[in-house]
Amino acid sequence: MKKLLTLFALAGVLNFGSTSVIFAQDEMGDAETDTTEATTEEASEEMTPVEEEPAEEAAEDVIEVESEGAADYHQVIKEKFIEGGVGFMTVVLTCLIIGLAISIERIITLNLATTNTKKLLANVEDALQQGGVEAAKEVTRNTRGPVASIFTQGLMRMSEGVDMVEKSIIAYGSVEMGKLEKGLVWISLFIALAPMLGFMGTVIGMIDAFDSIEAAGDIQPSLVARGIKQALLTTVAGLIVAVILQLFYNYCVSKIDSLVNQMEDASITLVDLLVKHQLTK
Amino acid sequence: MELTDILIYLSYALIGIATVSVIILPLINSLSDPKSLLKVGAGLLALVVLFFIGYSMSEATSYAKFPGLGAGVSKSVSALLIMTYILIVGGLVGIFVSMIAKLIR
Repeated sequence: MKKLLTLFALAGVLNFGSTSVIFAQDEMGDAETDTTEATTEEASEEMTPVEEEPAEEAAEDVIEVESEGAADYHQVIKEKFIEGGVGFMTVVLTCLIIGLAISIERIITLNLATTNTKKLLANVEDALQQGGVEAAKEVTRNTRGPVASIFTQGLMRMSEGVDMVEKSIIAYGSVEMGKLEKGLVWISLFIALAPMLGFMGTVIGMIDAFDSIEAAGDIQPSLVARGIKQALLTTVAGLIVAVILQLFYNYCVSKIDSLVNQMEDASITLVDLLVKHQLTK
Repeated sequence: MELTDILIYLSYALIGIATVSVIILPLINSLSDPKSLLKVGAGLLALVVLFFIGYSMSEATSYAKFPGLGAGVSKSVSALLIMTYILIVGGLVGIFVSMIAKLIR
């Protein structure tokens, strides 16, 4: 039921985007017809306003403007990129590219590491009751993810007692946690590095601007404004890079937190299951 | 030779040694375990492929503002930007797909 509700909510959110676009186009179409109505009424009252055709034209116009807008947007970014200095901007953008590549790798790895712990625990309980520890070990070995590997490690120590199982689960848990956090340091490095490089570009640009003022002998507004504007572009680029990477970094950190929480919760339940299994034996 | 010169050359040398040791020593270490390099190599290769996809998609635009801009530089800048768009969309798609996969699982 909860899953169904979440699915509905997700579908709603996804639909909301498309409906808002349609509304926007309708509104634009309406606006267009309104204005045509107003102008035709002003021109001659005898002429009846044509409502269908302007709406269609407006829709066509929107599509054209949208497609042109996308191309223009890229051209504007490209222009600003070149204006800010290709050398510095390339370094800043390389930070974003490598950071994003690591983020995508982490997102895929973390999602592959997510297991349905409830299902796994139920399977392990069944296997323990039917075939004992060896059958449970087989189940955990065939399941993907860190929770299953922790279970396998714990079950391997079952012959040495539940205390030993608990110890090995804790030790192996921290190993798995380290594996999950691998690569995150690099993302945080790029988050810190990109604005720093941006500021450095700005400061170097400012020095260049002041050099040209010094060479010119007096402060020409065009000279100063151009130099400072160009210099500030690298800072903007650095900040944009940091913002984008920070979003992905926080997603990864929250995903790791939830995975670790899941791991701890599942390990406690496993120990309980093993104690219960030992008592019934 | 003045003290400033000595300090500048010393800092150059130290930066050089530090950079070389950071790059070379891990490479020597991973030579005994080439599989660890495989993943990094595959990642770099994927990025290079993505760059060439961007490069083939891009056009060499000329701007009145930048008369000295070469066609190669213009295309490379476009390629880098297209590469960034692809990666951002890839990351977001990854997050959404995982959200949906979690619901189904």
